[in-house]
Amino acid sequence: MAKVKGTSFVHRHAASLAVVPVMLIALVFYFGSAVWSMVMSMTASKIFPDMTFVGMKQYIRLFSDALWALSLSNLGWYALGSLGSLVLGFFLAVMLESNLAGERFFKTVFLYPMAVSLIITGLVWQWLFNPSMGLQQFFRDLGLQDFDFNLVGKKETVMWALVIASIWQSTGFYMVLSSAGIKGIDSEVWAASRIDGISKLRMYIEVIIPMMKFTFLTSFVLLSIGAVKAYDIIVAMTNGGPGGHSELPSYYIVDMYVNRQNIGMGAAGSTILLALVLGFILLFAAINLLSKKKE
Amino acid sequence: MSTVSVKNIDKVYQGKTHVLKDLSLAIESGEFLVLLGPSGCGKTTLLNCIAGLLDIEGGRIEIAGKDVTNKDPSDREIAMVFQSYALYPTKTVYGNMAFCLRMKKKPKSFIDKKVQETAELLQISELLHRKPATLSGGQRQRAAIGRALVRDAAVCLFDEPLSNLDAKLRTEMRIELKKLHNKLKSTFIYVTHDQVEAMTLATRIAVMDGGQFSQISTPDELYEHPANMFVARFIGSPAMNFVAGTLRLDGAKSILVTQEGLEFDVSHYPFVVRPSNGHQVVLGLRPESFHRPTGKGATYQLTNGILEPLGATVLYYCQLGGTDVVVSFNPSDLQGVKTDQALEVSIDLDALSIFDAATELRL
Amino acid sequence: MKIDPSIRSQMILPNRVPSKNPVSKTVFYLLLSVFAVLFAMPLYVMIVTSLKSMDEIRMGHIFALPITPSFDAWDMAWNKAASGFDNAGLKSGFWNSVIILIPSLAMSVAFSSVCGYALACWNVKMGNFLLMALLVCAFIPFQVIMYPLIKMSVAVKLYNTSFGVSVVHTVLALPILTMIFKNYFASIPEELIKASRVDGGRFWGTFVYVVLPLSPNIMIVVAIMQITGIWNDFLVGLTFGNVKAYPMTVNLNNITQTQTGVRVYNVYMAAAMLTAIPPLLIYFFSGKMFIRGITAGALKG
Repeated sequence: MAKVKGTSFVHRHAASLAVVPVMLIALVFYFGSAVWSMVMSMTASKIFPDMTFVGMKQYIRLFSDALWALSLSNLGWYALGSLGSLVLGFFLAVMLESNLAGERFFKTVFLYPMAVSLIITGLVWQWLFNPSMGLQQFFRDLGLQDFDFNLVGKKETVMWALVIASIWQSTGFYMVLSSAGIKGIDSEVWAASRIDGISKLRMYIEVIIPMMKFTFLTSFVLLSIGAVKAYDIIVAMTNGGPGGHSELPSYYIVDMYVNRQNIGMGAAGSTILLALVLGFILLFAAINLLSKKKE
Repeated sequence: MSTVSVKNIDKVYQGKTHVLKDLSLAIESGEFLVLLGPSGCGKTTLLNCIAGLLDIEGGRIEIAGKDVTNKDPSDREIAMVFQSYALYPTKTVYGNMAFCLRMKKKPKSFIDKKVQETAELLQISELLHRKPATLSGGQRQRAAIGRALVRDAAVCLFDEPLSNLDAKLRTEMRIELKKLHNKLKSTFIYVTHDQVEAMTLATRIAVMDGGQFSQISTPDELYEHPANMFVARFIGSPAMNFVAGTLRLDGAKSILVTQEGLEFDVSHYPFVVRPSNGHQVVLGLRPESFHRPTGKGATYQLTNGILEPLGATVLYYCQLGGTDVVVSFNPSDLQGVKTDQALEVSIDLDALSIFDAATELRL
Repeated sequence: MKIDPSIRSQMILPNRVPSKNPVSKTVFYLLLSVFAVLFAMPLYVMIVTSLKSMDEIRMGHIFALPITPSFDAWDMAWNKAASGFDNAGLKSGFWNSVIILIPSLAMSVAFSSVCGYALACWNVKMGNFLLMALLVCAFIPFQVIMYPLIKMSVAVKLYNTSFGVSVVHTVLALPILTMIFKNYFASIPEELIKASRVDGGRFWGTFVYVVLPLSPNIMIVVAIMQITGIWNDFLVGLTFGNVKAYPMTVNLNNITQTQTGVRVYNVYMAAAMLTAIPPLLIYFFSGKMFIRGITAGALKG
């Protein structure tokens, strides 16, 4: 009797039971880990977890570390610079959506960097920026004797190098998103604009770009979160150098955990990172809500 | 002067699919011309060619006497209303209507006056500040028509503008459109696949089939004298009944004999082409041309009937000889009729059509 | 006359008529070509550099074609380079990546498709709450949960094993994949699910006989996403992997970061090409599927 009852329970609740694994993973591995980091960030943990409560001390230590402050400002510049991929991606999409032959070929070329590991992206751009054998030498051989393109080697310009590599890597992605947005406009609206004698430029300025503002905002959020997560490219390209001038918070945290073995500060950094991302998610949610309301 | 003339135009897609074949059509100023046909017949393509949205491979197009074959759509003095309304989604109704006037660098006061006037005409004055997404289908339709009308274009093109509306609204908008045309007296060219829409709106209908005109004529003429079986089938609801038969010419008398031996005296039929004795023909009978016997003339038996009362009329699905036919009666005509009995009727011999069985053309 | 659908779509797409303005068209082609060259340039440089000798590279002509093309650097990268534990090139890393990839692909697709199906087609208690939670999880940076995950994997003896890496990849992929599957399955007509239930299909029967046969496309899209994503991963492999069996990207990084001796860029580029070829092949042959994968992963959240 009990057995029959048991089977029917499993059958009746099969769907609810089927989501249990994923629910557990989300709860334990994500939320559990996030909470663990938050707790650890307020303890005196060093190499080993130590549950002595120290309040905000780890955060104070973190923010008094010049390298952390530098990594935060680097993050700001990196995110700002990466906006270039959104702008470029949009313009490429506009040109490609003008019904040119070879659209597929161009798209394939612009998108292939997405398929390649960021370790490779970092490596190949490090090689291109090599001062004696790379692009700089190429331009000097062309006669531009003073051409200076040693971006990776100098602390003022190293973030530029990372931004260029990241634009190369992700422009295709934003091109695809923009293309989808532009295609979203009804073909009859284009026909109407031709009847009304409205130029394509006008259509973009007054109709299409306003229409795509949610696409742009979403892209911006994705881009920012992408910048917060950036890690591999730094390892392959600069290792944070020279002198920490290409260090980003994500790199700093891994370094703190793995090399400097300071759990407390690593956890504090993680918590800041989490807060940043949560801020972006809230922004994202607000955008979604707004866009639904508009519809 | 806002005539439209299409001369021998050809439209070929991808160099192989010949969609329009040597079409010619002259539209008078102030006409309401409807392009009617089943989907894929080329009617929308023809409209897009007139609008200049599609290039043509041969022939020429004139609007108001000027050759516009190679002109941009915006230089053709036309306005167009689209099936999906095609309103600019980011602009208000006002913005939609004003956009094209602004691009033409008209003064602001002029634009404002023009938009207000047109909005009043279409009863959308309260909607001017709303975005298209917040409007109902009928309101969007009005806004789209408004956008077309503000431009005072000589010719107005409509691409199935009512097909996205529900049945009730469609009827209402149909009447509005007719009123509008009476008031404006400009030239309307209107594409539809709905024969009721075509019959009620048009001053003239061009029926299209396979990229060619089957018949261009007034609604009445199309209904009473379809030029071929395609038009006969397409116009009228329920559709015309066809009964196959043979012509027997006997001096002054012409008798049409069906396969089952029924005889129709068609001596008074105005043959376009004089047929020969024994000619294989198809007799076309409108559902409305059957009556209860009046006492004079031949009568026929309708058998195996099924009644379908529609209120104002009753459809009677039955057989004439061995052929399935649909007949439309007044409900009063059928009082006391039992469906298991044969029904005796006379047929209005002035309203029938005769087609050549081989060419399907009217005789 | 019947008109085939491809032409019909053109008939109702007048904006697809070639632009009448030849100037803007030429300018667009010019700009697109310039950018295409810029975007293709790194791949070109990788290939030509990998085919040169170090002597030739030192001449500094980065764009020049190799004078005497040779696959020595490729041989070196694949068989001999100092890639980590056994210093026997990338080839062991290649197989390590495959060994990591297969179980994580199977596990992540299995868990996420079933969960997405339950959320989309069945009434699950707290289903919306779970979806919200997954959306948040999808955005949490790996660094935030990395250290606790290490501790947990040590506790269950998965740390420093290839299977441990597979498990972590599965955990990281589940939120986004579940959402992708949920969105896709939600587009299956409800009537089909109802019909299956009326015919006696229960949860699993409906999944296997009704839902899965409708889903080959989404499965391919997800598989492409996962294969390229896991293949290109570096940090998970580095932090959780077995030092004796690191994935290919970690080996590649080891090769390039070895500080002893001269920097052999031809070998680096050959190693980079070897690592890039599997995902690039998938990319070039899958075309639209790859695009669908990255956009689904980005926006459908």
